[in-house]
Amino acid sequence: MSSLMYDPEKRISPEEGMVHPYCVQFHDTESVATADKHVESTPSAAVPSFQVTENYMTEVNDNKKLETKMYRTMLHQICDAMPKR
Amino acid sequence: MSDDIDKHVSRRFEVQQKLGKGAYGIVWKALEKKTKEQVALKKVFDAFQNSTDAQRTYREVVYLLQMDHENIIKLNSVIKADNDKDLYLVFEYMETDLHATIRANILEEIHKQYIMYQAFKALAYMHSASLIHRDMKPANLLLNSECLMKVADFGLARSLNSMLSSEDRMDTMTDYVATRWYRAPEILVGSTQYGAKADLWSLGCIFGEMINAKPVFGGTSTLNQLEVISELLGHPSPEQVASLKSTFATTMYENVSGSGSESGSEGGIAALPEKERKARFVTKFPTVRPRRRPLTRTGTERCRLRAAPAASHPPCPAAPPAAPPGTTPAVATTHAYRCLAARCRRCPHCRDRFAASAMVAGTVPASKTVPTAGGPAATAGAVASASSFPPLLLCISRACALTMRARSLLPHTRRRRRTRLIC
Repeated sequence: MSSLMYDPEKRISPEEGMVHPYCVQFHDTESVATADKHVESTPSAAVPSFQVTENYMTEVNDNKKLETKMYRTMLHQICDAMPKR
Repeated sequence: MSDDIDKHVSRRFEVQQKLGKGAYGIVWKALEKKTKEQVALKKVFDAFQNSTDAQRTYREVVYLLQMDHENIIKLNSVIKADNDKDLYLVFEYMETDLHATIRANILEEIHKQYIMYQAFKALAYMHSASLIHRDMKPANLLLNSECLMKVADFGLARSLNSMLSSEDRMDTMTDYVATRWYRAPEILVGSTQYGAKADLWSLGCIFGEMINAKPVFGGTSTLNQLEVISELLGHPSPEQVASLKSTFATTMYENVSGSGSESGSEGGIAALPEKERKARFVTKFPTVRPRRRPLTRTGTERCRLRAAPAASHPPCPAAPPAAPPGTTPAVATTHAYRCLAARCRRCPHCRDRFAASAMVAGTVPASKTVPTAGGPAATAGAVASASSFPPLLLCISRACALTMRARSLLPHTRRRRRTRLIC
């Protein structure tokens, strides 16, 4: 319940949550994974084999909404670049 | 908006069942022919109708492809539709979600604990990748019969990195609509600098909903949402309002009507004393005891110590296929759940854990969960509380049978049940 606090700083963190008496019985320090890199919003971050064909594709960020057709082009190129299984 | 599946898609997948349909698109349960893998095939209608939808789909795809965690849904592939408008997304298949499970009233104490643990674990991973989900809600937490939980729907997620580095941050965070009931106060008051802790607020709401089987804060508008929150937490103190980091916070809270505490003449409504706040929590969540002592550093260390020997423990005889050498991280946690669920007392490791859990879980007797509203759900609840730690598997398939959903699960259940009886 310590996550329902007004002050975001005072809310429980996920790391504290895992060792909270309520769920500590499942806790395993070794199985806790942290990501090895930060997420990025460029298509190349998602699919390494992505072919950058336009300039905007290297500068996608969350703060700017692109034109619809740019998203479409990128998603379609992601489809093509997905590793075939 | 057609339900048809393009030929090149149906060549790869054998569609088995329609799982749901909404304005966004349609989801089927399907079998990938080549790998024989069960998948959820989602067809997004007109994914590029406007830039908001297109961005949503784009985020979901790009972020999910970068996630690799057992508690985050896996996006197997993305497929173009012939008409250039729709888009197919192929996810791993999960049987149900937390929303349905809460409504069916089948969650036992142990399931709630396990779900909370997995949610914390998923968030720890996500936040370490500086991604915030922003739309944590029961319907987005998918579950399977092993009580394995996976976070889904990253359409509103965004990376914290770009938030911090952006110069024009001020107008960027405002134009999205996440589910109001789970929205953190700082988002409600229009803060532009909120961070990862917003997800923790949502998780708190989800926890409360699991406990009480109904939403904690069911506001009908943004302002009403703030009022409902104040009813439980009290009116925020000036420091708390400041901590929300929004220029509108003060003005908005002036419009939030009384929260049961006395109004000051000048400074608006007085903040709730800590003691009173706790008392309200006890009234609101009668089945949860407040922590007796705050979880201090030593408390945390103690918990860590208790959990530490996990890695080196011998394989439990009761564990269905014993953890293979070079074990994946998931195994230990799943194993702990299975043993607890099966009340395995043979394995020394599990016995320790069982004792620890009994200590924690014992404060809340399983039978004292929220009374069911009658009807089929009540029967399910009664059956569930008859045995102490029923595997969610049994409960889920019962719920499925009740909702006429995935009837094919039942034979599978019986098989599973027998394995459990052996241990």
